[in-house]
Amino acid sequence: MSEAANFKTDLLAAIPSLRAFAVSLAQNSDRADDLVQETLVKAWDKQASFQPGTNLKAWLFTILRNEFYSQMRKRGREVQDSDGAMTARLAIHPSQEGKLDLEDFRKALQVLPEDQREAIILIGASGFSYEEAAEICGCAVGTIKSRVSRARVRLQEILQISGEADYGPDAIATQVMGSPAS
Amino acid sequence: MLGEYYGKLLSNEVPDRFAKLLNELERAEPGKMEATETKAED
Repeated sequence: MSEAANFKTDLLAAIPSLRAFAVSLAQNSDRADDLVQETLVKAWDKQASFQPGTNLKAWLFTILRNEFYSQMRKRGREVQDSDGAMTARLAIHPSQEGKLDLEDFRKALQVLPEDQREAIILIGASGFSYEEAAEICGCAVGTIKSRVSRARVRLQEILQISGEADYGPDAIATQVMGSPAS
Repeated sequence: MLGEYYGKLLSNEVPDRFAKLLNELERAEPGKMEATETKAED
């Protein structure tokens, strides 16, 4: 198999992860698929700059993330809700009988500032290390840790997980973070 | 819950447009591909 064919196979295998990350960022499946398409085109054009044996998934996530923020800047999006003002006004009540469902959780994620959302997705779901997530986001490892921590607290607030008395300390983390997906 | 949410996203069916796009990119000269709608015929 040629080098290009191998690269194409690797890109195809990465598409589900790219789409999941794109949906998490864009919160819109059509826009997410456009982001994935741009990412694939850019990755193909830059394939000579990819070092075989290094982390292709992290490289692709970096391209996708850069494309997402580039598009946001072009669209002139207003400054995100990093101080939590919007979150403070919004709380999600569990759908039925106090049980959180995925739709509640999706809505809660949507309320998070992008930097916190991407951090908790990269660490808690995509399986990246703090170091890899920092590389993808172009920031310090400590910044990623801080964003993940703030995201967890914010999700607990939004979802009105009231505290250890209701769920126990481990249950809170489990409800919000769950176990990492591969 | 985060893992469950993300797992659902991962399991979504991948649209055929991406396989078509990659086939087109493979056929095209490197660096000549425009980031536009894919027009692959296969």
